[in-house]
Amino acid sequence: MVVPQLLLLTLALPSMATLLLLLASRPGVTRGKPLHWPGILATLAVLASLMASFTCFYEFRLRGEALHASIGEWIPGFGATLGLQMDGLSAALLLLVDGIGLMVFVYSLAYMREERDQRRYYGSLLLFLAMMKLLVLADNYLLLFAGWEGVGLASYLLIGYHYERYKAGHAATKAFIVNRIGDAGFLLGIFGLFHACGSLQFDAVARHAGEIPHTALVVITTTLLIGALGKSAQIPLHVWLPDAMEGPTPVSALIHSATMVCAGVYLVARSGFLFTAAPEVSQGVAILGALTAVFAATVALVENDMKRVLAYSTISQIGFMFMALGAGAFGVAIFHLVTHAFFKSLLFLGAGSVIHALHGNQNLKQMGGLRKKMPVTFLTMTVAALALAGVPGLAGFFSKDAVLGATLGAPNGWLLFGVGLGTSLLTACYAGRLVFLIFFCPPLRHASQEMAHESPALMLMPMRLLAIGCVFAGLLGPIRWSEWPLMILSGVVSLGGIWLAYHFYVSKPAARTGLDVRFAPLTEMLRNRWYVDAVYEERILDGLVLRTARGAARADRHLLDGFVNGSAWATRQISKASRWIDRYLIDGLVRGASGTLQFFSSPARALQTGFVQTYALVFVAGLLAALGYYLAH
Amino acid sequence: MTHAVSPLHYLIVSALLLVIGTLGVLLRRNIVVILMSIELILNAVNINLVAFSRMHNQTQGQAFALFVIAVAVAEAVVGLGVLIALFRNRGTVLADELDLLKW
Repeated sequence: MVVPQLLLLTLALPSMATLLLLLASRPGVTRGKPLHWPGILATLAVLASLMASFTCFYEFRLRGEALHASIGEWIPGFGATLGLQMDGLSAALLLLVDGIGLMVFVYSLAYMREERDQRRYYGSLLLFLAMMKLLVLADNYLLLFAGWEGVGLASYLLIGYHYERYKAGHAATKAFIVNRIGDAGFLLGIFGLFHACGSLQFDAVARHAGEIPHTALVVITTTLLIGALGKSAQIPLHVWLPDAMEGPTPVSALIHSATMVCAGVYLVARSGFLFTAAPEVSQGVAILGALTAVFAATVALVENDMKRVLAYSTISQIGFMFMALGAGAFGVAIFHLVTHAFFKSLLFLGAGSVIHALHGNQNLKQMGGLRKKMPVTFLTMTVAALALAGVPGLAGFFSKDAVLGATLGAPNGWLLFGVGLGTSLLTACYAGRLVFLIFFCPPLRHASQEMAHESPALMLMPMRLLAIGCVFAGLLGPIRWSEWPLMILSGVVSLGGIWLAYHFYVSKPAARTGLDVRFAPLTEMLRNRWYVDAVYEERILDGLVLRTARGAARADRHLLDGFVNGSAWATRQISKASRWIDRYLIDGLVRGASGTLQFFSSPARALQTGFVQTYALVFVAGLLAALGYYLAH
Repeated sequence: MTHAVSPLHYLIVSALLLVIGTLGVLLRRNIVVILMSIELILNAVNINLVAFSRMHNQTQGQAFALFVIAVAVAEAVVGLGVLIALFRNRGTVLADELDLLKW
């Protein structure tokens, strides 16, 4: 098969399945037993699209150059085509999306078995997959933006999947609105790019990148960065991701950890030629990444909701990726993105398995001792947590090491490196805490504990495969063995972090309480997520937005309503006057005319009785009169 | 004794018939009776015609009377037809309840 068709096919398969599920079948929840065909159909579509992606990748490796496929002009004269391209960057993400996607779809078959609205779930998930593939395959910024908005929509739909729960609907809205801020920035960046380059094709922009004036470049990269911050949940737009955990757990695994939230990293990497030309913005990227990494890691350390720990961990790890991006090491960032996708999606699937076993309970404080009851979940999740912690030999170790190595090359590199190393320690610590709290610590007595059981094989199979990925994915990337001192250092740091977690959660829990008491204000601040959410809600939502809304309401009531009511009053008065004129002047004229006529015509009318005999009488009288007159003369 | 009946008698009868008929047309309410009164008026004319025809020994008058009878029959037919249509529409044959000529 020729290349364009192949590229199209890999995009068209999930799109068509989406259409089939969302449009072609009867909407709404089915009665009785939940349907199973949507899940099976969706999984087959993902499998087929994965195979198509692999064929594309094979073709790409064979040719050694980027593949292109053009469907045609989208907006003529705007430099926006419906074109797809596949280079190394796209290929990595394409295979990742399809691969993790397949795992999550298979997992969902078991996890979402009891859900009533299978069609909507799989339709939205497939919509996400199609849009994500459009995002990574697009060959221009506008088409990328279309995919970008598409994944945002799918994310919104899936966070709010359980829309009957207030919190889920709220979280979906929050994610949508926060993303909108970022998307507005991205859109401005696209406008700027078109203004500066006259085209939105990646290759055309890359050709013209050198000619863009520096100020314009700074503006463009800053606005693009705002878009990336929104989608990738970085400071200051990170608040939506923890709330997004209201979505079903497989969704969190696919969208809110492995793929969609990394779209920002992809965007910056894709625009790498712009960011390298604007070093001050790049430095900003690195600083924001470092801040986010350390901030989110500290919150993950004290969070008690299992999925929120993982969400903050995701934010922190994407912070790492941004550090690498800021240092100009785009390949390293993508490397970390890939390994992170493996272990984080596995962690989420494991969390789903635990939630499944505990019947929806996701409070870490109420877990413990599940090691014996769920051996496979325990093993796979531990592998993933070790990979997250960066234990030597596992995927996360190599990529995190590469990121740390890359930061040294950036301006103020030592600072970034120090923050990165500190965050690694925190990461290992909270990863260890997660595993210890779920699987090791003596269980608190809780009803859900008694019923705990291992998950069905259909859920364990993707977890096993991903665990293999967590072990070996590190070998895919650029490993620089020459940096062995760095490797030893980060290995020691990660093991130290795990030891800390072991110390405080397994061997001497009492020491933890002591620390808690001594640093009460600090832990309190961490528990409140550095008050960021509170400040956003109080200052921005309540303060700014509500005050503006109240002002607008007052203006509405007094100015607009006054105008409306005033015009109503004026209309009423005018109509009163007009009624008076109508009744007394115009009607008077008409009535006067008819009355005059009536008055003067009344004698004539009296003649006409309408009775035939009256006429006959007049007739006879006239005849007699004529006769009398004749006889008299 | 045929001379005992002079033309004057005929004229008197005819005049009586004319007056009776005219009064009938003017005073009776029932249209059927009014139509009958019209017949009386016509026959008053007929008597005159026949009487003068006899007096002058000419037949034109009698022929004319036959015409009048024929016309009277036709008039009665049309008049009764109108009357039936009127009754069907208005439910009455009384002249003082019908004031349609005003409009």
